[in-house]
Amino acid sequence: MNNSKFSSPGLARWTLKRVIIAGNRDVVLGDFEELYREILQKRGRSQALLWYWAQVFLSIPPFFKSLFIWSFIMFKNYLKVALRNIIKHKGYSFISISGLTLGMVCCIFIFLWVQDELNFDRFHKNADNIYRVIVKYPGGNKDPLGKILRYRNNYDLTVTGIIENVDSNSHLGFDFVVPIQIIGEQTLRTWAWDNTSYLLLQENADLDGFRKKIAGIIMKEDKRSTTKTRVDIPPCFFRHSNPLIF
Amino acid sequence: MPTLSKLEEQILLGVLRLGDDAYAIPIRNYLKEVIGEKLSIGGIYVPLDRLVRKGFLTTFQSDPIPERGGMSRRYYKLTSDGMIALEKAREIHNKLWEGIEQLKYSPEREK
Repeated sequence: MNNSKFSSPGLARWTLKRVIIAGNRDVVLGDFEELYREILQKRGRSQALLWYWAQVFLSIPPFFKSLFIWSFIMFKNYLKVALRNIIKHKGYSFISISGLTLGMVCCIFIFLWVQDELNFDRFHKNADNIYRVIVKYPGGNKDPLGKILRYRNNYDLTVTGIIENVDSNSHLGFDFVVPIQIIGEQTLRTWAWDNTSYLLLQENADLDGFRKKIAGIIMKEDKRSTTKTRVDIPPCFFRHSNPLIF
Repeated sequence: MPTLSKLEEQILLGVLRLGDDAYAIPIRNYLKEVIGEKLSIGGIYVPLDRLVRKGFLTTFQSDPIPERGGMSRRYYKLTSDGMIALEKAREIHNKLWEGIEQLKYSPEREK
């Protein structure tokens, strides 16, 4: 391109070249150059410049419009190709999509679980500064055997044995064990109602027969039971692994 | 064979009339002259490209021309398909206008 004094301004031409969408770029640019020189000769430089720049700015909106339309068309094309690929390779598609789905589901569940754990007991505005007081034998490191512990300000209990802390992955969390006779009649009378009770059956016991029998006893002996009372004896150690059932 | 739109027909006739001088600027000037309406510069390339795609026009490039900043012109020429299409368009026109002697517009008739 020669840079004679008749040629169009470089910046305008540069811009125009990039936004031309119709026809052959160089040919269209040449046509504009020809028209520019024609106007330059007939009406002077300022008019020609004004005309050329107006053409440049008028060309910009259609350029972006076509850019948008084409990218949309290409996106549609990609979608179509992907769909055809899925249909052609059904087995592989099934494996990869279901794998991806499974992975995403796991991730979402893990995320939800972590979120729930992090927010557990966080409702209090001073949650960061609240601590749980863990009950320990008040005597510190001294041998507690034979010492007396006061329970519910009512019962004086003598420590006769010490066991290890119960594992946290059990619902049998307790701090101490007391023979039921000591706690008294009150507790004993409502044992099936107010406390979780555990039974150790013989290896070959008839479970269904036992269930019927004990239900009958509870219904008969306990005055609070009505015809709607349901006695359920689930296996103790299935409790945690089947939380939805019990 | 695809039919011609009105603009396409006009452009083909323009190319035919302009002969060896048929490139975008004279074609646009011719249309402006005949129709009386200004066609945008960009608007001339779209139907021209379409006519080339349909096979009614062929193009050839000129040598670089100094008045165009050293760029070449793209000239258009009718193909035989273009001729046939124009001929067909003329037939349709003739059929449509056959027997219509004169058109008189009288405002009273519309009342």
